[in-house]
Amino acid sequence: MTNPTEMAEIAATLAVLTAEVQALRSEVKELRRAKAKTSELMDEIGPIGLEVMAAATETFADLEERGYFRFGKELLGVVDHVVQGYTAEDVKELGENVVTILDTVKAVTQPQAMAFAQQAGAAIERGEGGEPVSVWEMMKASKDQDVQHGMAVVLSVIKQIGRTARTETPAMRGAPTHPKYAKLAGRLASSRPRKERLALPPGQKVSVNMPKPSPSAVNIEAMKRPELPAPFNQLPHDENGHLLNADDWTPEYADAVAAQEGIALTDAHMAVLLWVRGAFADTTKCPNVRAISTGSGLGTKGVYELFPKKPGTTIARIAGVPKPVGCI
Amino acid sequence: MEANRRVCIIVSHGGLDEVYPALILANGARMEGIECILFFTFYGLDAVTEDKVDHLHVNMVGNPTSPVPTMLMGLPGMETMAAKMMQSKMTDLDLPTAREMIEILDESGAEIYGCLLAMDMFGRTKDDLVPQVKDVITVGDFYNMSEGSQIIFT
Repeated sequence: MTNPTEMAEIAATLAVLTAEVQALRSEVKELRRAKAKTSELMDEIGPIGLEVMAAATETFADLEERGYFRFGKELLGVVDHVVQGYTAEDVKELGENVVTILDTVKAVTQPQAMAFAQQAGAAIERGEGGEPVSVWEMMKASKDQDVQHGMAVVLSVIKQIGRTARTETPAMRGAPTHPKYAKLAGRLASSRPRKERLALPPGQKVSVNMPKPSPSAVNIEAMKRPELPAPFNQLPHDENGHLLNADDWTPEYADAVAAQEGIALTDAHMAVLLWVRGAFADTTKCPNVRAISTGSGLGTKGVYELFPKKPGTTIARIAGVPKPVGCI
Repeated sequence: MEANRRVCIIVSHGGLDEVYPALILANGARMEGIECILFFTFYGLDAVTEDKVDHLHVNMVGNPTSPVPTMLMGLPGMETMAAKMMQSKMTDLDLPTAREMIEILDESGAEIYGCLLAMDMFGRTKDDLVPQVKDVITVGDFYNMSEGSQIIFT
């Protein structure tokens, strides 16, 4: 029932299987050897590893005990604060100022400065100068050489502070950004003409309407006064009705002006007028009321009796001289 | 037009530099044909008191425009000296003395009055005053007199 071909096939399969089994056996053997080597290694490494671990733990415990971890944790906290509190720009500025900072640190850590800080601290600890000092004691202390030197240093420091403050202030005042300033600026712009609006193109002239001087009381009176009769109205007069050229004067002119002022000229009047004209010829100035009253020997009362209204200007006008200047 | 124009000048201070402006104002008013009433009260009364009118002093203490420090002006005699200097300067300018000014004012038709309250306070009678003082009046009289006029207080 079996043929030779089938037998041959079975034999071939068996041979293949045998070969595979052989290969597996050798692999298993290899694995076993490797495993044996590993366990050997582990046996050797184990104690060393334990030793290392123990040592490391001990070191960490020691570090822990000395506060390294806590310090590190705190330091991290500080770094966290710094990062949160400062922006990148701040850090950039810091970079720019680092030289100054280092210089400052260097200056502060100079032996002199350190010694000073130490001594100052010691003085505070000793309680020196703890008692309140009166003004008198301050004056006494100002004679002390050390105090004098100290004051010089303090003054120079104060000076420096002031200088810094002065240069800082305008920068701080520059361009107000608060909304209320913007509002204010808006209001001002609408209510007040700005300078540039007033600026004129070059070459153009400004025509200013100067307010005309309001007419003085004398002017008003001169305007109200009726005109002088001819030929006296042809003579040149100033705006107050005084004769411009004293040489144009005649007794008839005086009569005409006096009539206008409501005065009938007498010899007494004429004596005063002549005296005034003489004084004017000497000084080229019209004498004031006091000069008239004392100079003509008439006295104040006499002057006011002869020329009751505005003696000074009235006399000058009738006498054909300019208005007197002066307060008395 | 100025027939009814009138000024009333109240003089309440007695310093030489305080009395003069009032007197010059009054005189100027008269020169311009303005009626004028002068009312002397409190220390201004010194300007119309016979014993005092020739010895008016300049108040330099507490005067910030004084050329001499206040501290020095407080020394005895300094006021008199300052007053003399000012008076001499005024004489150079042909300014009358206070007494003369009051005489001029009276002659020019200004009316001069003293204050009754101040008179009582300083214990003065009308005989102590210069003859140019027309009357001693109360504040009510003054108001009645000055109705419709301009009032200047110095």
